[in-house]
Formats: sequence, C-alpha cells, structure tokens
Amino acid sequence: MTASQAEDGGRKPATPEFRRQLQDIIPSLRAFARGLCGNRELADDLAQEAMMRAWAARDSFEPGTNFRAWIFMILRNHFYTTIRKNSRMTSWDPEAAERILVQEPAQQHAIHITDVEKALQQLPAEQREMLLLVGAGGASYEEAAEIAGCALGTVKSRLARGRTALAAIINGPDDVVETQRHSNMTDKDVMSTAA
Amino acid sequence: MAERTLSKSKKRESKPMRFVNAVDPDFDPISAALRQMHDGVASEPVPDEFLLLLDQLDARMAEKDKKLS
Repeated sequence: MTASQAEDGGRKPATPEFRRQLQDIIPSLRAFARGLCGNRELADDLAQEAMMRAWAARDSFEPGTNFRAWIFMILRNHFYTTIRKNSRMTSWDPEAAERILVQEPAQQHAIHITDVEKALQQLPAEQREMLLLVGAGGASYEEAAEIAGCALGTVKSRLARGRTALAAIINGPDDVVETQRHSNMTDKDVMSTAA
Repeated sequence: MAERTLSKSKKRESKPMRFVNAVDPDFDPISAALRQMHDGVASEPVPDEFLLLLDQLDARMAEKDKKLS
C-alpha cells in the first residue's frame, strides 16, 4: 500500500487526535513488529504498512476505544498474511548481536538479550506474539486477547507454553521447572520482581 | 560529619539494582529480557521515514479537501 492508496475517496478526514495517536504509537508498533519478524528493516516496513492501513481504515476506529489494540491487530494480521507469502520475515537480525546483557555474566541467572531474541524466533508465532504483547509490551491479558482475536484462557495457555519453550531453548530442559514456577505467577507479578 | 553521612547515603542510593536481582529468588531473567528488548526498540529515535509518511498522508488529505471545496 502507498500513501496515496491510504488516502482514498469518500472517507471522513483524519482528525488531529487520530494523527497524534498514530504518531505516539510508533515506538511500540516498531517494537512489536521487530519482535514478530526479528528483522529491523522488515519490521519498519511492517509498521509503516500498518500505519497506512490504519489511516485508510480510520472510519472503523471508534474514538475512545483502545487505539493500541486496534492498530496492533492491523499489524499482526498483515504480518501473518505476509509470512505466508515471504519466508524472509522470520530471519534473524544480525545487528541485534550488539545488545547488552540483562545481568552481569557472573550472576547465576545471566542471560543474553540475543539468546532470547533468537529463541523467540524459534517459537510458534502464536506463542511468540503473546510473549511480545504481555511479557515485553506490558499488555493486559484482555488486550492481548482482543489483538489476537482469541479467548482469555488461550492467551494464558499460550503465554505459559511460550515461556516454558523459551526457557528450554535458552537454558536447556533443566530450567523448565523454574520457568513453570514463574508461569504460575501473573505476568504483572513477574514484571514487578524483574523491575 | 554531616557531609560524611550524606556521602554514605549517596553511595547506598547509587548501588546497582542488579545486586538486588541476584539475590531475589523471584527474579525471572526471561521476563526481564523481554521487557528490555521491547524498551530497547521503543526508546530508539523514530526514523524520519515514519514522520514523513504521516506528513504525506496529511498533505494528501489537505489536497483532497482543497479540491472538494
């Protein structure tokens, strides 16, 4: 889609508020896209495409409702359509190798961001997106359910399975028990202990 | 003396949080890594092409409004 295609006839003009929301969401949109496809350039293309689609579909957005959920859903749907056509979308971003450590190497639970990013790309997409939405982006279970178009219980089970699988990929199967302990906590609890 | 106390207090405040995490049994490195991944990208400066795109959409809209009026 091009900018001119996004501006199509017969639609009501975008309000300054709509534009402001679109501009404010760019950092989160880029982060979600980067996590989904694992590649900086492709993720930015994906985020821009989602912005154009959101602009074109602005009539369907109800002011006062959750703008983030609405545009994340647009991005996600476009992502799944694209990966069916283009296998490059799951490639690994080599620039990410420069990232810093979460903790110092001497500590017991030291872990590289790069390991997590690589492991994420090995997960089934539906588990990956839940970890990105709730674990990384801080979305509520309800919001994640709205974005993915699934039930609340499905969100929780995908999160728990995703966490377990991620730990198994990064640390080996021995770490799974420890990860399952964390999976029994709410994600907000886990985040607050990690802060 | 007061200065020495202040200095000690400052040292305590600047102690890295990592130490707390290292002894916290509930620390989950995977959750922390996910959050850090997200925050790392979200804190990058927004590339110009994104703002350019918004400007293009705005400009085309204004152009269309002009034609209609």
